[in-house]
Amino acid sequence: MTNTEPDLDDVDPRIQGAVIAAPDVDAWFVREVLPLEAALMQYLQHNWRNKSDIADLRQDIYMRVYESALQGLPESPKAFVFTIARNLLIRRMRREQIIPFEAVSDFDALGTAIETPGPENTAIARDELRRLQQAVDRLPPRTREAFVMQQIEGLSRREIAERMGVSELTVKTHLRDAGRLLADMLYGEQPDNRRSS
Amino acid sequence: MSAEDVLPPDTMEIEKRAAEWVADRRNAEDWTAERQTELDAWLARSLAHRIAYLRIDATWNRTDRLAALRRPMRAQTPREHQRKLPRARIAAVFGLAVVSGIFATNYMLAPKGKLVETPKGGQERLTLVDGSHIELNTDTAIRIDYSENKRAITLLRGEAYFQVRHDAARPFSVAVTGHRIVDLGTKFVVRMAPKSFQVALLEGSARLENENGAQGRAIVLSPGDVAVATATATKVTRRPEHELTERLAWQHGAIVFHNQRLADAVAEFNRYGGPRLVLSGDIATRLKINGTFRTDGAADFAALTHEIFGLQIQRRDGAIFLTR
Repeated sequence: MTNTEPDLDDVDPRIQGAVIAAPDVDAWFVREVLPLEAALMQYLQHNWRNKSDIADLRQDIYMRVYESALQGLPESPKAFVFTIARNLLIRRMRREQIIPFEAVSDFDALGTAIETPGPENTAIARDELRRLQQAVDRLPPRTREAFVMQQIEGLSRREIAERMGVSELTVKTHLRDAGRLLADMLYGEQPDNRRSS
Repeated sequence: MSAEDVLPPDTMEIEKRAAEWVADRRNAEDWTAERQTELDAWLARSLAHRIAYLRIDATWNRTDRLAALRRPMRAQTPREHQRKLPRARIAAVFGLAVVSGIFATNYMLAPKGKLVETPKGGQERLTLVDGSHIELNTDTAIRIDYSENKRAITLLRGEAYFQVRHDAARPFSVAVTGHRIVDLGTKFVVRMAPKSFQVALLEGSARLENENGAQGRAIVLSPGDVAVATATATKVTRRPEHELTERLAWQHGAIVFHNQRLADAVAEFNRYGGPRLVLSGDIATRLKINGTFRTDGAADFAALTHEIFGLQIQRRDGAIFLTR
């Protein structure tokens, strides 16, 4: 199953013009697309050899998904996201000519095999809480310390800086890193990728 | 790879910048209208910015649930507007504050004997002029008598959390069914039941007095103490910290159960309005509930009892009946 669609739309959205954003697309993106990230990352890792490209690919796919959703929200977010992902991969592969097309032809089997229980769909939140806790535990110690003080203890930047004996700028850096690392763990990894338990 | 195939190397940079914005925005004390304008402009500049921001923001929002299970704290975003603000800024900020779903009120000059109530399923957070906080849970009423030399609250029904700025010259007290809780610098939560009430002390200390009794019968509560008082007796037990903080999960819209009897879990959900849950037969005694639920999640909970315990669910007259 090769992709025959022309590359006319193959323009990096980042160099396109003004950004149209819609609150309902934002909400849809958070609710429907982000929970697919673990499956998407698995798909990309299977099908793209150069691991350092994967974060960029993911971001690129997200932008295309968002832009397409502005025209109307799709009925099946999963099929929608993976179709866009596959088309993008095929175009990249075709250009780079380093991976045979067949690598993505098993998309359908793979795509349907991946279970994606979005946390928002789980009525019982015990597993989610354990997962959150484990993700926080895996942060680097100082980053975790700053995150816990801000998010769990509700301290101010100044108070955190005082307690940690560092500058507020350093606290800011820790909090920034916490958000990024947690996003990768909570969205990018399969829930059963637990290090402990 | 040819040059044109290389993705802009800035994905990482964008993500870092987005993560900074998210963390800054949640730091309500330094968040100003100017910063919001800057953020809006940054988000509008590129879809890549917006997506990176949405993703990190959603991550922080997810971790809000973790906060609900630790010790009580200042309100977190998305309730960030309710955060404690320097007093000089309260008036200015409050004029602009937009709070979704939950009301934040500042009593700059609370009138004498002011009555504050929440409906079933409601919640309210009050900030007194001295910086003390009161949070009312569902179906709760308090009277505030606030003057130069006293801060007297009466809990008329329901459940309320108190975070008190201690001031020896102006004691803070909570009256509840013939008893009085006097703050000695503290955070505590009081919950009324038909024939008793419970006080759980989280930080600092407070004195529990029986209004009919002698001063000598007052009990000083320490962190971890839970006092259960009826008209005639008071019993104090020490509970682990996590249990106390779970009692306050309602502040974040959650209920936590540990080995709760089904009947008690059902009663807990029914405090919050929504479809009423009704148990029939003798199913209540054996089944035990564990887990964290949304306070408005009665219907989800009912569905789970079907999946897990095999109970039958019937919806009738706006209620949900659970039977064998």
